[in-house]
Amino acid sequence: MAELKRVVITGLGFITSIGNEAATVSSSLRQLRSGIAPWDFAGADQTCAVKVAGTIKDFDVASPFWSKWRYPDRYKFKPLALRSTSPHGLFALCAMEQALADANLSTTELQSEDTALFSCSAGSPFLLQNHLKAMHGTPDLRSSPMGVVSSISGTLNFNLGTHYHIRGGNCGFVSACASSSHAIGYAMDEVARGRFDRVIVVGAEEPNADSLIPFMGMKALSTNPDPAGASRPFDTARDGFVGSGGATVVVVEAAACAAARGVTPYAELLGWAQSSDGFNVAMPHPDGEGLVRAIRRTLRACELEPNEIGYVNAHATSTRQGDAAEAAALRTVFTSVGAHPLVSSTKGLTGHPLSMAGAMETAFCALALKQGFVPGNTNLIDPDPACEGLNLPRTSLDQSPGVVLSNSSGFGGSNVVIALGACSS
Amino acid sequence: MNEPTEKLTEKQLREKLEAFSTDFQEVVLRYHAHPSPEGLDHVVHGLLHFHVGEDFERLHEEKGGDVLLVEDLKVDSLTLVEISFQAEDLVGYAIQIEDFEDIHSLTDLQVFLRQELFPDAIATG
Repeated sequence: MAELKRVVITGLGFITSIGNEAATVSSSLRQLRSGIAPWDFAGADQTCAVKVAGTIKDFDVASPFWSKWRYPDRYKFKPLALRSTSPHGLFALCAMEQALADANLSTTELQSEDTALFSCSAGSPFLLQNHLKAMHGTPDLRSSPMGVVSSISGTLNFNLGTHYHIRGGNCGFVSACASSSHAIGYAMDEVARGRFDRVIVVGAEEPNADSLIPFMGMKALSTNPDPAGASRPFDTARDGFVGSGGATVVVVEAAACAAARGVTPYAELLGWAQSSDGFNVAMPHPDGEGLVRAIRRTLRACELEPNEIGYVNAHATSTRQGDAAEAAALRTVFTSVGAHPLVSSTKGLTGHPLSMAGAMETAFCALALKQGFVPGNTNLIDPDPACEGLNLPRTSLDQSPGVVLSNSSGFGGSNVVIALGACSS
Repeated sequence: MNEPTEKLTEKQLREKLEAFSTDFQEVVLRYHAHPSPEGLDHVVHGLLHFHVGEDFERLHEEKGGDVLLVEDLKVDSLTLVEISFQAEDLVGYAIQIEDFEDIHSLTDLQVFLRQELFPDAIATG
């Protein structure tokens, strides 16, 4: 087998609750500026116990009709690009525009046989239910020709792959909240093995009632009405996650290709690993034993020791069980052997954007590596005793994070860990 | 031959128009109040503008009614189906997808609908 290639991140695009481009996202992370805001999920004559969300600013995608969506003027999309997409598809298009410009990719490179697209979303329950309602309202079950391609879970692949004329490969990943971490991991493998020069990884979700409120039925959402305090990973007073959405795009590329284009990468992707709890459809193993396996496998894959990790971007979503299980895993891998990496969950600022979380947080880590900072834990006032021994900074730190791990865990017990480091010359 | 479909109530029509711009809604409502071949042409023009955007206006200015749906405007089969449904909703005539085999240009589409909806006007010139 040929020697594995070095893999780097060369472009980022963000439509997130804490900013719609890299500079704003970076300053939000440094200043712990929250993207969570009051949100009315309830329809007329309804009430909803969930009062806040990680909202996307400067977009209005409340209508099921693409022709009624409003988005920043700097993006120009023709009807052909929007007619078969969803609100989160629009977010993804905007984040793609940023990432492709950021990576300085030419049209030739983008459309070459060596560029692939991996994407993740839960689809658009919002559009799907609108299409199905319209279909059932007709005497002959007539359905919109755009119904399927705009709403099912492959919608990002269909639309982005076509719009950008992607020719290398085009596929989606489904492992709930670990999905886009899986996509980055497999993108890394494909590039390292030389199958593609680059893979564009996209995660996107819709922060609306149809995507988020069903989690209330699982008692997974915070009912804290205070936007500033509702998402509080690792804190004793946490009561569930705050839903969010948006889009993040990460351009994963062979280091040699980046160098040939004269692009300075954000970070190097050092390795990754995964595991499965095999325990419960929704809850993690209480000891975090699956996540322990994923972290240790990642360290082995990168030939790293626990004390060589400087920062862990935790998955911690602010649920009671999830944060405690992750804390247990981190203590097992690190604290028990005298290693004390900095640990924070940026979901205190962003809320939890479901399948896009892994791509978003890997992108945050890439920003932190390039700019030399470590995001702090917002709303961490009274740490859960389960976190004893963990190094949880309350503020963001102006220091190099060193070697970084980004953790993700999804329903069914899927665990993914991505390792990143600063780019060596 | 396909028959004109049942006319929508004003409430139903307004619901069907929700996706469109206010300007286009007015074009359709005017057509419903006073159906005419010219009004029908405006509705067809507005439908193509909806699906293609500013490129349609530019190409229409360049080529007039000869502008081609597939080659020039990049209208694909999904959009043709949508236009067929929208024609049924907005002007009361369901274009069959096989009818599009003989409809290549904007003028073809306008003439086809005129023939179906205003046969007397065509016959008398």
